[in-house]
Amino acid sequence: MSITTENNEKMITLMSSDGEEFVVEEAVAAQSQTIKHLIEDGCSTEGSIPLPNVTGRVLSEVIQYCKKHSSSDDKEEKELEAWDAEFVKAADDHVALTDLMMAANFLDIKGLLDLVAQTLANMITGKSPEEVRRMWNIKNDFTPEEAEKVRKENQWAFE
Amino acid sequence: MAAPTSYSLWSELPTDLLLKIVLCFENNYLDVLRFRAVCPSWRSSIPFPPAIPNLSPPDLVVERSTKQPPVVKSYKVVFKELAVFAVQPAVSHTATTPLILRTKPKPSKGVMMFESLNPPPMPKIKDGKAAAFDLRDFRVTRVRFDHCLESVDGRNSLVAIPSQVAISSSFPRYMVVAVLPDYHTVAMWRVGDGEWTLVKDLMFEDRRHCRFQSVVFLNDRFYAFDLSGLVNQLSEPFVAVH
Repeated sequence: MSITTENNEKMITLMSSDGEEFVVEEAVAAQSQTIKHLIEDGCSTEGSIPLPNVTGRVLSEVIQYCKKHSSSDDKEEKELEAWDAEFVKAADDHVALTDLMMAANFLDIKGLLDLVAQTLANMITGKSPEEVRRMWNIKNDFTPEEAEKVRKENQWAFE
Repeated sequence: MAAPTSYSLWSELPTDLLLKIVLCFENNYLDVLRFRAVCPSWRSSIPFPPAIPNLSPPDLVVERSTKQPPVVKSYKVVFKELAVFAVQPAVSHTATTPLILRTKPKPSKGVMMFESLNPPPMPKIKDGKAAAFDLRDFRVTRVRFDHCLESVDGRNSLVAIPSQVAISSSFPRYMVVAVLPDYHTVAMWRVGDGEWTLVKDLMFEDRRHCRFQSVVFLNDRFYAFDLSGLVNQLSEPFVAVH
C-alpha cells in the first residue's frame, strides 16, 4: 500500500513475520538496502512488504534505529554515537540481540549490524567461557575428546 | 537481559555473523581462543587464532646510506610479544586483587607461558610439575600489548624496542611497521609478503627528512613520531602528512 502524507512523504507498510503492520516513511524503510531494492523493484505499490524473517518486536526496534538514522545528518555524528549506545542498551531489554543482528543482516542495514556485533563482542570480552554460556543460556555440549583439546588450548603455564 | 520470548538460539547464528563478532575483539588472540571454548558450534565456525609470535618475517635488508659506499646489511628477525594481562577468578564472592601476568615471548607447543608480576611471585613448581592454570576459569583483561623486533643472528644486532614497532590488529591479516632510527627509515611488512618494504626519503612538506623515533597503530592507521614531535600519518603508499 502506497499512501502519501500531507507533506508529500511517501509511506511504506512493512509486515512482520507475526503479521504486525508498521507504516513508515519511505526514507526510513530505505535505510534497509533489502527494502530499498524491493521498493525499486516495485514491490511496495500494492499492499505491504512482507518480512518473513523478522518478528514484530524486533522490527519495531529496527524501525526506531532507521528513523533516527534517516533524520540525522553527518554533522551530528557524536550525538548519533551516544544515541546508538543508548538504543542498543534498551534494545537488549526488549529483544535478543542475536535476533536483532540477524534482522540487521537480513535487511542489510550495515550501521545496525556493526553496532550489534560490537556490542556483543564487548559483552563477551574478558568473560570466562562459563560466564558467556550462563549469560545466554548456551549449552556446553563438547564431547570429552573435544573438551580435552579445548582444555589444552587454554592452558597457561609458568616458565 | 534479553526478553524470554522470541529468544534466538546462539547456535542459529550463521558463521559469517559469528565471525563479524570475533572481528570486533580488540584483544584478538586470547578472546578468540576463549570464544572457541564456549561451545562446539562456535569452535567449528571460527578458525584457531593466528598467534603473532609464530609469524616468521622475512629477512630485513637495510642500507646505511650515510656511508660511502652504502653499507647493506641483512638481518634475520623475529617478533617478540610482550603482553600483560590482569587475571581474576571468574567465580569469586569477594573482591580480589587481580594477578598481573606477563606472557613469555613464545608459547611452547600451544601452551601460553607466563610470569607473575605481583609480589609474591606465584610458585613455579606445584606437586612436582610446572604450575599451570586453566585460562577458562578466569576473567582476563589485556593491560598492555607490545611487540619488539630482534635480530636472531648474534653478529648482526638490530633491535626495535616496543615503541618502535606497531602491529595492526585486524584479524586475520596483520601488518607490521617498525621504525629503525639508526637507518633513518621505516620498514613495513604485511604477513604473507615475501619481503619488507622500506620507506626511503620520507619528507615533511618543508623538505626536511623525517627522523622517526616511534610508531603507533590507532583507528586503522599507523602514525610515526618524528624527533621534533611532528606526527606523520603512514598510509599506502607512504606519504608524509602534517
